[in-house]
Amino acid sequence: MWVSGVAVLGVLAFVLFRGGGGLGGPDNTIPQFDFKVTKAIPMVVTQNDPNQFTGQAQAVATEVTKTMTALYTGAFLDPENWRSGSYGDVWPLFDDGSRTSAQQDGATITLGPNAGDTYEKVKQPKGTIGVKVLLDKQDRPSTAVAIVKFTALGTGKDGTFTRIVSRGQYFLRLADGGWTVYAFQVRRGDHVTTPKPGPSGSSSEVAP
Amino acid sequence: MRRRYALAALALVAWIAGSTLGVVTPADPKQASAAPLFQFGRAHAEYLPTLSGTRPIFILFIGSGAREGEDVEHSLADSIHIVSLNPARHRAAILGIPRDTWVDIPGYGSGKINTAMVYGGPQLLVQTIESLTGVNLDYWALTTFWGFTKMIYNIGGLTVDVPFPMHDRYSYSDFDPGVQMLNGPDALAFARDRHSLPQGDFGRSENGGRLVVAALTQFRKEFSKDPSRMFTWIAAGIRNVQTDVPLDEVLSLAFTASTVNPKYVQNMVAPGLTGMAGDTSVVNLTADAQTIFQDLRNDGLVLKKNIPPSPNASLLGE
Repeated sequence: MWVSGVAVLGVLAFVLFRGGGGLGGPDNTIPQFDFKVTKAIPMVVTQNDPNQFTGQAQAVATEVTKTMTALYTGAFLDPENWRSGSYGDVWPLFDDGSRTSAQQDGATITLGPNAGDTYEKVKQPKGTIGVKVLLDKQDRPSTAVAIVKFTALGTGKDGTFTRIVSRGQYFLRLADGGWTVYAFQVRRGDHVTTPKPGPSGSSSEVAP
Repeated sequence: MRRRYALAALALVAWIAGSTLGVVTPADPKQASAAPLFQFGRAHAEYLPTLSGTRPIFILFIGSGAREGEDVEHSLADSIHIVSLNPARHRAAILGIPRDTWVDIPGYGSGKINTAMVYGGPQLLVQTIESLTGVNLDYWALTTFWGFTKMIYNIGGLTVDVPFPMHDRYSYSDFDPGVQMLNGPDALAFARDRHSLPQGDFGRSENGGRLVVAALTQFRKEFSKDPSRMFTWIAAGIRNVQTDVPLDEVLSLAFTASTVNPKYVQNMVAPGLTGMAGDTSVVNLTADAQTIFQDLRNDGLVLKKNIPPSPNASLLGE
Protein backbone atom coordinates (compact mmCIF):
# COMPACT_ATOMS: atom_id res chain seq x y z
CA MET A 1 0.00 0.00 0.00
CA TRP A 2 2.72 2.35 1.08
CA VAL A 3 4.81 1.42 -1.95
CA SER A 4 1.98 1.97 -4.40
CA GLY A 5 1.22 5.32 -2.78
CA VAL A 6 4.79 6.44 -3.29
CA ALA A 7 4.70 5.24 -6.87
CA VAL A 8 1.57 7.22 -7.62
CA LEU A 9 3.09 10.28 -6.01
CA GLY A 10 6.25 9.70 -7.99
CA VAL A 11 4.46 9.54 -11.30
CA LEU A 12 2.40 12.60 -10.42
CA ALA A 13 5.47 14.54 -9.39
CA PHE A 14 7.36 13.41 -12.47
CA VAL A 15 4.58 14.62 -14.73
CA LEU A 16 4.33 17.91 -12.88
CA PHE A 17 8.05 18.54 -12.90
CA ARG A 18 8.53 17.51 -16.50
CA GLY A 19 5.67 19.76 -17.55
CA GLY A 20 7.71 22.68 -16.31
CA GLY A 21 7.05 25.60 -14.12
CA GLY A 22 4.83 23.77 -11.70
CA LEU A 23 6.01 23.34 -8.15
CA GLY A 24 9.33 25.08 -8.86
CA GLY A 25 10.45 22.60 -11.56
CA PRO A 26 12.47 23.45 -14.65
CA ASP A 27 11.04 26.04 -16.97
CA ASN A 28 9.91 24.37 -20.15
CA THR A 29 8.93 27.56 -21.91
CA ILE A 30 10.16 27.58 -25.52
CA PRO A 31 11.97 30.83 -26.31
CA GLN A 32 10.27 32.90 -28.99
CA PHE A 33 12.16 32.44 -32.25
CA ASP A 34 11.78 33.41 -35.88
CA PHE A 35 14.36 33.35 -38.63
CA LYS A 36 15.03 36.64 -40.33
CA VAL A 37 14.71 36.04 -44.07
CA THR A 38 17.64 37.78 -45.77
CA LYS A 39 17.02 36.78 -49.37
CA ALA A 40 14.75 34.78 -51.63
CA ILE A 41 16.33 34.21 -55.02
CA PRO A 42 14.63 32.52 -57.98
CA MET A 43 16.95 30.41 -60.17
CA VAL A 44 15.49 29.76 -63.60
CA VAL A 45 16.41 27.04 -66.08
CA THR A 46 14.50 28.71 -68.93
CA GLN A 47 15.40 31.82 -70.89
CA ASN A 48 12.88 33.86 -68.88
CA ASP A 49 13.94 36.79 -66.73
CA PRO A 50 14.47 35.52 -63.15
CA ASN A 51 13.19 38.82 -61.75
CA GLN A 52 9.66 38.00 -62.80
CA PHE A 53 9.66 35.06 -60.38
CA THR A 54 10.75 36.95 -57.27
CA GLY A 55 7.25 36.75 -55.78
CA GLN A 56 7.18 32.99 -56.28
CA ALA A 57 10.57 32.67 -54.61
CA GLN A 58 9.41 34.77 -51.66
CA ALA A 59 6.33 32.58 -51.24
CA VAL A 60 8.52 29.47 -51.21
CA ALA A 61 10.93 31.15 -48.79
CA THR A 62 8.04 31.75 -46.40
CA GLU A 63 7.10 28.07 -46.45
CA VAL A 64 10.69 26.88 -46.23
CA THR A 65 11.25 29.21 -43.27
CA LYS A 66 8.32 27.58 -41.47
CA THR A 67 10.02 24.20 -41.82
CA MET A 68 13.39 25.52 -40.72
CA THR A 69 11.88 27.39 -37.76
CA ALA A 70 10.17 24.19 -36.65
CA LEU A 71 13.42 22.29 -37.13
CA TYR A 72 15.59 24.66 -35.10
CA THR A 73 12.93 25.17 -32.44
CA GLY A 74 12.62 21.43 -31.98
CA ALA A 75 16.34 20.80 -32.25
CA PHE A 76 17.69 23.55 -30.00
CA LEU A 77 15.00 25.46 -28.16
CA ASP A 78 12.28 23.13 -26.92
CA PRO A 79 13.42 22.23 -23.38
CA GLU A 80 11.29 19.11 -23.38
CA ASN A 81 13.35 17.85 -26.31
CA TRP A 82 16.86 18.76 -25.24
CA ARG A 83 16.32 17.84 -21.60
CA SER A 84 15.20 14.39 -22.63
CA GLY A 85 17.62 14.09 -25.56
CA SER A 86 14.67 13.03 -27.65
CA TYR A 87 13.86 15.08 -30.74
CA GLY A 88 10.94 13.15 -32.13
CA ASP A 89 9.23 16.18 -33.65
CA VAL A 90 12.36 17.10 -35.64
CA TRP A 91 12.87 13.95 -37.69
CA PRO A 92 9.60 14.10 -39.67
CA LEU A 93 10.92 17.34 -41.18
CA PHE A 94 13.45 15.17 -43.05
CA ASP A 95 12.27 12.97 -45.90
CA ASP A 96 12.58 9.19 -45.86
CA GLY A 97 15.94 9.25 -47.61
CA SER A 98 17.69 11.69 -45.29
CA ARG A 99 15.99 10.94 -41.96
CA THR A 100 18.24 8.10 -40.85
CA SER A 101 21.39 10.10 -41.57
CA ALA A 102 19.93 13.09 -39.75
CA GLN A 103 19.23 10.95 -36.71
CA GLN A 104 22.72 9.45 -36.82
CA ASP A 105 24.12 12.98 -36.94
CA GLY A 106 21.74 14.05 -34.19
CA ALA A 107 24.53 15.46 -32.02
CA THR A 108 25.28 18.02 -34.73
CA ILE A 109 21.80 18.68 -36.03
CA THR A 110 20.28 19.08 -32.57
CA LEU A 111 21.56 20.21 -29.20
CA GLY A 112 22.47 16.59 -28.69
CA PRO A 113 21.39 13.50 -26.80
CA ASN A 114 23.09 14.60 -23.58
CA ALA A 115 22.22 18.27 -23.68
CA GLY A 116 20.04 17.85 -20.59
CA ASP A 117 23.16 16.94 -18.63
CA THR A 118 24.97 20.03 -19.77
CA TYR A 119 22.50 22.86 -20.01
CA GLU A 120 20.20 24.57 -17.59
CA LYS A 121 18.72 26.95 -20.12
CA VAL A 122 18.93 27.88 -23.76
CA LYS A 123 17.91 31.40 -24.64
CA GLN A 124 18.57 34.39 -26.94
CA PRO A 125 18.00 32.51 -30.19
CA LYS A 126 18.80 34.42 -33.35
CA GLY A 127 18.88 33.27 -36.92
CA THR A 128 19.02 34.32 -40.52
CA ILE A 129 17.91 32.37 -43.53
CA GLY A 130 18.51 32.90 -47.23
CA VAL A 131 16.56 30.82 -49.70
CA LYS A 132 17.38 30.00 -53.32
CA VAL A 133 14.55 28.46 -55.29
CA LEU A 134 15.25 26.39 -58.39
CA LEU A 135 12.38 26.56 -60.85
CA ASP A 136 11.67 23.76 -63.29
CA LYS A 137 11.31 23.92 -67.06
CA GLN A 138 7.77 25.22 -66.60
CA ASP A 139 9.03 27.91 -64.21
CA ARG A 140 7.41 26.24 -61.21
CA PRO A 141 9.27 25.87 -57.91
CA SER A 142 11.06 22.54 -57.94
CA THR A 143 13.46 22.57 -55.03
CA ALA A 144 14.96 25.07 -52.63
CA VAL A 145 18.07 25.45 -50.58
CA ALA A 146 17.98 27.22 -47.23
CA ILE A 147 21.20 28.84 -46.06
CA VAL A 148 20.89 29.07 -42.31
CA LYS A 149 22.83 30.74 -39.52
CA PHE A 150 21.57 30.15 -36.01
CA THR A 151 22.91 31.08 -32.59
CA ALA A 152 21.63 30.77 -29.05
CA LEU A 153 23.10 31.11 -25.58
CA GLY A 154 23.29 27.98 -23.47
CA THR A 155 23.57 28.33 -19.73
CA GLY A 156 25.47 25.37 -18.37
CA LYS A 157 24.65 23.55 -15.18
CA ASP A 158 28.21 24.24 -14.14
CA GLY A 159 27.69 27.98 -14.51
CA THR A 160 29.50 28.39 -17.82
CA PHE A 161 27.95 29.84 -20.93
CA THR A 162 28.13 28.44 -24.41
CA ARG A 163 27.39 30.26 -27.62
CA ILE A 164 25.60 27.60 -29.62
CA VAL A 165 26.29 28.07 -33.31
CA SER A 166 24.81 26.12 -36.20
CA ARG A 167 25.44 26.97 -39.84
CA GLY A 168 24.00 24.86 -42.53
CA GLN A 169 22.50 24.44 -45.90
CA TYR A 170 19.36 22.38 -46.22
CA PHE A 171 17.90 21.26 -49.53
CA LEU A 172 14.13 20.98 -49.44
CA ARG A 173 11.34 19.98 -51.75
CA LEU A 174 7.60 20.04 -51.52
CA ALA A 175 6.12 16.85 -50.11
CA ASP A 176 2.63 16.03 -48.87
CA GLY A 177 3.02 17.78 -45.56
CA GLY A 178 4.97 20.82 -46.77
CA TRP A 179 8.61 21.50 -47.58
CA THR A 180 10.83 18.74 -46.23
CA VAL A 181 14.59 18.35 -46.11
CA TYR A 182 16.18 15.83 -48.48
CA ALA A 183 19.84 16.84 -48.23
CA PHE A 184 21.87 18.81 -45.75
CA GLN A 185 25.32 19.98 -44.80
CA VAL A 186 25.52 21.38 -41.28
CA ARG A 187 28.39 22.58 -39.12
CA ARG A 188 28.45 23.41 -35.45
CA GLY A 189 30.82 25.98 -34.06
CA ASP A 190 29.83 26.14 -30.39
CA HIS A 191 32.21 27.94 -28.08
CA VAL A 192 32.46 29.04 -24.50
CA THR A 193 31.50 32.63 -23.95
CA THR A 194 31.15 35.12 -21.14
CA PRO A 195 27.89 36.98 -20.81
CA LYS A 196 27.78 40.41 -19.26
CA PRO A 197 24.76 41.95 -17.62
CA GLY A 198 22.59 43.84 -20.05
CA PRO A 199 20.80 47.12 -19.28
CA SER A 200 17.72 45.26 -18.08
CA GLY A 201 19.74 42.93 -15.94
CA SER A 202 19.58 40.13 -18.49
CA SER A 203 22.88 38.74 -19.63
CA SER A 204 24.34 39.38 -23.03
CA GLU A 205 27.44 37.89 -24.53
CA VAL A 206 30.91 39.31 -24.50
CA ALA A 207 32.73 38.58 -27.68
CA PRO A 208 35.31 35.86 -27.08
CA MET B 1 5.56 23.25 6.99
CA ARG B 2 3.79 20.01 6.08
CA ARG B 3 3.42 21.37 2.56
CA ARG B 4 7.20 21.93 2.30
CA TYR B 5 7.91 18.36 3.44
CA ALA B 6 5.41 17.09 0.95
CA LEU B 7 7.09 19.04 -1.84
CA ALA B 8 10.49 17.79 -0.78
CA ALA B 9 9.23 14.22 -0.82
CA LEU B 10 7.69 14.75 -4.23
CA ALA B 11 10.93 16.17 -5.50
CA LEU B 12 12.91 13.20 -4.20
CA VAL B 13 10.50 10.68 -5.71
CA ALA B 14 10.40 12.58 -8.96
CA TRP B 15 14.17 12.61 -9.12
CA ILE B 16 14.30 8.85 -8.57
CA ALA B 17 11.53 8.24 -11.07
CA GLY B 18 13.12 10.54 -13.59
CA SER B 19 16.52 8.94 -13.18
CA THR B 20 15.06 5.49 -13.54
CA LEU B 21 13.32 6.53 -16.71
CA GLY B 22 16.48 8.16 -17.94
CA VAL B 23 14.82 11.50 -18.34
CA VAL B 24 16.02 13.68 -15.50
CA THR B 25 19.70 13.19 -14.89
CA PRO B 26 21.43 14.80 -11.94
CA ALA B 27 24.01 17.38 -12.78
CA ASP B 28 27.50 16.21 -12.01
CA PRO B 29 30.04 18.81 -13.09
CA LYS B 30 32.93 16.32 -12.88
CA GLN B 31 31.07 13.79 -14.95
CA ALA B 32 30.00 16.48 -17.39
CA SER B 33 33.53 17.72 -17.89
CA ALA B 34 34.84 14.19 -18.38
CA ALA B 35 32.18 13.33 -20.94
CA PRO B 36 32.90 13.98 -24.60
CA LEU B 37 31.90 17.56 -25.24
CA PHE B 38 30.23 17.03 -28.59
CA GLN B 39 29.00 20.56 -28.52
CA PHE B 40 32.45 22.10 -28.81
CA GLY B 41 34.66 22.11 -31.83
CA ARG B 42 33.34 21.98 -35.34
CA ALA B 43 31.06 19.03 -35.74
CA HIS B 44 29.90 18.32 -39.24
CA ALA B 45 26.81 16.55 -40.51
CA GLU B 46 26.06 15.82 -44.12
CA TYR B 47 23.67 13.84 -46.23
CA LEU B 48 23.68 14.01 -50.01
CA PRO B 49 21.16 11.97 -52.01
CA THR B 50 23.71 10.55 -54.41
CA LEU B 51 23.02 7.79 -56.87
CA SER B 52 24.02 4.39 -55.63
CA GLY B 53 24.48 0.96 -57.07
CA THR B 54 26.98 -0.52 -59.44
CA ARG B 55 25.13 0.22 -62.66
CA PRO B 56 26.97 3.00 -64.44
CA ILE B 57 25.12 5.99 -65.88
CA PHE B 58 26.00 6.92 -69.45
CA ILE B 59 25.39 10.38 -70.86
CA LEU B 60 26.20 11.49 -74.37
CA PHE B 61 27.54 15.04 -74.54
CA ILE B 62 27.22 16.58 -77.98
CA GLY B 63 28.53 19.85 -79.32
CA SER B 64 26.45 20.97 -82.27
CA GLY B 65 28.26 22.69 -85.09
CA ALA B 66 25.18 24.81 -85.85
CA ARG B 67 25.62 28.52 -86.40
CA GLU B 68 23.03 30.92 -84.95
CA GLY B 69 19.77 30.54 -86.83
CA GLU B 70 20.49 26.97 -87.92
CA ASP B 71 18.67 23.89 -86.65
CA VAL B 72 20.74 22.95 -83.62
CA GLU B 73 19.44 19.38 -83.40
CA HIS B 74 19.94 18.64 -87.10
CA SER B 75 23.42 19.99 -87.68
CA LEU B 76 26.74 18.19 -87.73
CA ALA B 77 27.89 16.97 -84.32
CA ASP B 78 31.20 18.77 -83.89
CA SER B 79 32.18 17.06 -80.66
CA ILE B 80 30.96 13.77 -79.24
CA HIS B 81 31.77 12.46 -75.77
CA ILE B 82 30.41 9.56 -73.78
CA VAL B 83 30.59 10.37 -70.07
CA SER B 84 30.10 7.42 -67.76
CA LEU B 85 29.62 7.65 -64.05
CA ASN B 86 30.14 4.73 -61.71
CA PRO B 87 28.28 5.82 -58.56
CA ALA B 88 29.45 2.95 -56.38
CA ARG B 89 33.10 3.62 -57.09
CA HIS B 90 32.80 7.42 -57.25
CA ARG B 91 34.65 7.36 -60.53
CA ALA B 92 33.93 8.43 -64.05
CA ALA B 93 35.26 8.14 -67.57
CA ILE B 94 35.11 10.41 -70.58
CA LEU B 95 35.48 8.91 -74.00
CA GLY B 96 35.76 11.20 -76.99
CA ILE B 97 34.65 9.81 -80.32
CA PRO B 98 36.30 11.40 -83.34
CA ARG B 99 33.68 13.18 -85.39
CA ASP B 100 34.90 11.64 -88.65
CA THR B 101 34.49 8.09 -87.37
CA TRP B 102 33.10 5.90 -90.16
CA VAL B 103 30.11 3.99 -88.82
CA ASP B 104 26.85 2.37 -89.71
CA ILE B 105 24.05 4.86 -89.14
CA PRO B 106 20.82 2.92 -88.49
CA GLY B 107 18.52 3.40 -91.46
CA TYR B 108 21.03 5.47 -93.45
CA GLY B 109 23.88 3.11 -94.27
CA SER B 110 27.54 4.01 -93.70
CA GLY B 111 28.60 7.53 -92.98
CA LYS B 112 30.58 9.80 -90.73
CA ILE B 113 29.27 9.66 -87.21
CA ASN B 114 28.74 13.41 -87.08
CA THR B 115 26.16 13.24 -89.86
CA ALA B 116 23.84 11.01 -87.81
CA MET B 117 22.48 14.06 -86.03
CA VAL B 118 21.78 15.78 -89.34
CA TYR B 119 19.62 12.86 -90.42
CA GLY B 120 17.77 12.13 -87.21
CA GLY B 121 18.68 14.55 -84.45
CA PRO B 122 20.32 13.57 -81.15
CA GLN B 123 18.14 10.48 -80.94
CA LEU B 124 19.67 8.99 -84.09
CA LEU B 125 23.15 9.90 -82.91
CA VAL B 126 22.39 8.05 -79.67
CA GLN B 127 21.21 5.03 -81.66
CA THR B 128 24.31 5.16 -83.83
CA ILE B 129 26.66 5.26 -80.87
CA GLU B 130 24.78 2.54 -79.04
CA SER B 131 25.11 0.41 -82.14
CA LEU B 132 28.81 1.21 -82.42
CA THR B 133 29.75 0.69 -78.79
CA GLY B 134 27.12 -1.62 -77.32
CA VAL B 135 26.74 0.90 -74.50
CA ASN B 136 23.19 1.83 -73.54
CA LEU B 137 23.15 5.59 -73.25
CA ASP B 138 20.82 6.84 -70.53
CA TYR B 139 20.65 10.47 -71.59
CA TRP B 140 21.98 13.02 -74.03
CA ALA B 141 22.83 16.68 -73.66
CA LEU B 142 23.43 18.98 -76.61
CA THR B 143 24.98 22.41 -76.60
CA THR B 144 26.03 24.99 -79.14
CA PHE B 145 28.89 27.43 -79.54
CA TRP B 146 26.83 30.23 -78.02
CA GLY B 147 25.18 28.00 -75.39
CA PHE B 148 28.57 26.78 -74.24
CA THR B 149 29.89 30.34 -74.07
CA LYS B 150 26.90 31.49 -72.00
CA MET B 151 27.18 28.49 -69.73
CA ILE B 152 30.76 29.39 -68.85
CA TYR B 153 29.69 33.00 -68.34
CA ASN B 154 26.80 31.92 -66.07
CA ILE B 155 29.11 29.99 -63.75
CA GLY B 156 31.53 32.91 -63.61
CA GLY B 157 34.32 31.44 -65.76
CA LEU B 158 36.15 28.14 -65.73
CA THR B 159 39.57 27.50 -64.25
CA VAL B 160 41.58 25.32 -66.62
CA ASP B 161 45.10 24.01 -66.41
CA VAL B 162 46.18 24.57 -70.01
CA PRO B 163 48.76 21.83 -70.49
CA PHE B 164 50.69 23.17 -73.47
CA PRO B 165 50.88 26.28 -75.63
CA MET B 166 47.87 26.78 -77.88
CA HIS B 167 47.91 29.51 -80.50
CA ASP B 168 45.52 29.19 -83.38
CA ARG B 169 44.05 31.93 -85.54
CA TYR B 170 41.10 29.78 -86.63
CA SER B 171 39.67 29.10 -83.20
CA TYR B 172 41.21 32.26 -81.67
CA SER B 173 42.95 30.17 -79.01
CA ASP B 174 45.88 32.04 -77.53
CA PHE B 175 47.08 30.32 -74.40
CA ASP B 176 50.36 29.88 -72.65
CA PRO B 177 50.52 26.80 -70.46
CA GLY B 178 49.37 27.06 -66.87
CA VAL B 179 46.33 27.37 -64.66
CA GLN B 180 44.08 30.17 -65.81
CA MET B 181 40.52 31.36 -65.61
CA LEU B 182 38.85 31.13 -68.99
CA ASN B 183 35.84 33.23 -69.88
CA GLY B 184 33.20 31.91 -72.27
CA PRO B 185 34.89 32.77 -75.58
CA ASP B 186 38.27 31.58 -74.27
CA ALA B 187 36.82 28.26 -73.15
CA LEU B 188 35.16 27.86 -76.55
CA ALA B 189 38.47 28.59 -78.28
CA PHE B 190 40.17 25.99 -76.08
CA ALA B 191 37.48 23.47 -76.98
CA ARG B 192 37.62 24.16 -80.71
CA ASP B 193 41.34 24.46 -81.37
CA ARG B 194 42.70 21.57 -83.43
CA HIS B 195 45.32 23.34 -85.49
CA SER B 196 47.67 23.71 -82.50
CA LEU B 197 47.51 20.00 -81.86
CA PRO B 198 49.57 17.34 -83.59
CA GLN B 199 46.69 14.91 -84.04
CA GLY B 200 44.05 17.49 -84.90
CA ASP B 201 40.54 16.37 -84.01
CA PHE B 202 41.80 13.57 -81.73
CA GLY B 203 43.67 16.09 -79.61
CA ARG B 204 40.75 18.48 -79.67
CA SER B 205 38.46 15.72 -78.45
CA GLU B 206 40.79 15.07 -75.53
CA ASN B 207 40.74 18.78 -74.71
CA GLY B 208 36.94 18.62 -74.65
CA GLY B 209 37.26 15.99 -71.93
CA ARG B 210 39.82 18.18 -70.20
CA LEU B 211 37.17 20.89 -69.92
CA VAL B 212 34.72 18.43 -68.36
CA VAL B 213 37.34 17.48 -65.76
CA ALA B 214 38.05 21.17 -65.12
CA ALA B 215 34.34 21.79 -64.65
CA LEU B 216 34.07 18.90 -62.21
CA THR B 217 37.06 20.19 -60.27
CA GLN B 218 35.60 23.65 -60.00
CA PHE B 219 32.09 22.41 -59.20
CA ARG B 220 33.36 20.26 -56.33
CA LYS B 221 35.41 23.12 -54.95
CA GLU B 222 32.47 25.50 -55.05
CA PHE B 223 30.03 22.92 -53.73
CA SER B 224 32.21 22.13 -50.74
CA LYS B 225 32.30 25.80 -49.79
CA ASP B 226 28.72 26.64 -50.66
CA PRO B 227 26.38 23.78 -51.64
CA SER B 228 23.78 26.25 -52.90
CA ARG B 229 26.11 26.99 -55.81
CA MET B 230 24.81 23.73 -57.23
CA PHE B 231 21.68 25.59 -58.33
CA THR B 232 23.83 28.10 -60.22
CA TRP B 233 25.53 25.27 -62.09
CA ILE B 234 22.30 23.44 -62.80
CA ALA B 235 20.56 26.59 -64.01
CA ALA B 236 23.58 27.50 -66.17
CA GLY B 237 23.59 24.01 -67.63
CA ILE B 238 19.93 23.55 -68.36
CA ARG B 239 19.47 27.07 -69.69
CA ASN B 240 22.12 26.48 -72.30
CA VAL B 241 21.71 22.88 -73.35
CA GLN B 242 18.99 20.76 -74.80
CA THR B 243 18.70 17.52 -72.92
CA ASP B 244 16.41 14.65 -72.08
CA VAL B 245 17.68 14.43 -68.49
CA PRO B 246 14.77 15.18 -66.13
CA LEU B 247 15.46 17.90 -63.55
CA ASP B 248 15.23 15.48 -60.61
CA GLU B 249 17.85 13.30 -62.25
CA VAL B 250 20.04 16.35 -62.88
CA LEU B 251 19.92 17.01 -59.13
CA SER B 252 20.87 13.42 -58.34
CA LEU B 253 23.70 13.52 -60.86
CA ALA B 254 24.96 16.81 -59.43
CA PHE B 255 24.97 15.45 -55.88
CA THR B 256 26.74 12.35 -57.14
CA ALA B 257 29.27 14.39 -59.12
CA SER B 258 30.18 16.18 -55.91
CA THR B 259 31.53 12.85 -54.64
CA VAL B 260 33.69 12.07 -57.68
CA ASN B 261 37.34 13.02 -57.31
CA PRO B 262 38.54 14.51 -60.62
CA LYS B 263 41.82 12.64 -60.14
CA TYR B 264 39.88 9.46 -60.77
CA VAL B 265 38.22 10.61 -63.96
CA GLN B 266 39.58 8.88 -67.04
CA ASN B 267 39.82 11.09 -70.09
CA MET B 268 40.57 9.44 -73.42
CA VAL B 269 39.75 9.40 -77.09
CA ALA B 270 38.70 6.30 -78.99
CA PRO B 271 41.79 5.29 -81.01
CA GLY B 272 41.50 5.21 -84.77
CA LEU B 273 43.39 5.62 -88.00
CA THR B 274 42.62 8.09 -90.72
CA GLY B 275 41.69 6.61 -94.06
CA MET B 276 39.48 7.20 -97.03
CA ALA B 277 35.95 6.17 -97.81
CA GLY B 278 35.63 7.00 -101.49
CA ASP B 279 36.93 10.53 -101.68
CA THR B 280 36.06 11.32 -98.07
CA SER B 281 38.65 11.44 -95.31
CA VAL B 282 37.41 9.33 -92.41
CA VAL B 283 38.52 7.71 -89.16
CA ASN B 284 38.41 3.96 -88.78
CA LEU B 285 38.39 2.94 -85.13
CA THR B 286 40.95 0.28 -84.22
CA ALA B 287 40.41 -2.97 -82.32
CA ASP B 288 41.63 -1.17 -79.20
CA ALA B 289 38.49 0.96 -79.35
CA GLN B 290 36.39 -2.19 -79.12
CA THR B 291 38.27 -3.17 -75.97
CA ILE B 292 37.45 0.21 -74.46
CA PHE B 293 33.79 -0.19 -75.36
CA GLN B 294 33.79 -3.59 -73.68
CA ASP B 295 35.26 -2.13 -70.50
CA LEU B 296 32.69 0.66 -70.48
CA ARG B 297 29.86 -1.84 -70.85
CA ASN B 298 31.17 -3.70 -67.81
CA ASP B 299 31.25 -0.94 -65.22
CA GLY B 300 31.56 2.40 -66.98
CA LEU B 301 35.32 2.52 -66.46
CA VAL B 302 38.28 1.48 -68.58
CA LEU B 303 40.98 -0.85 -67.31
CA LYS B 304 44.24 1.03 -66.93
CA LYS B 305 46.02 -1.23 -69.41
CA ASN B 306 43.39 -0.45 -72.02
CA ILE B 307 43.57 3.33 -71.78
CA PRO B 308 45.09 4.54 -75.05
CA PRO B 309 47.99 7.00 -75.21
CA SER B 310 47.03 10.67 -75.26
CA PRO B 311 46.77 12.11 -78.78
CA ASN B 312 48.56 15.13 -77.32
CA ALA B 313 51.33 13.00 -75.83
CA SER B 314 54.10 14.71 -77.78
CA LEU B 315 53.03 18.10 -76.42
CA LEU B 316 52.74 16.72 -72.93
CA GLY B 317 56.26 15.31 -73.07
CA GLU B 318 54.96 11.76 -72.65
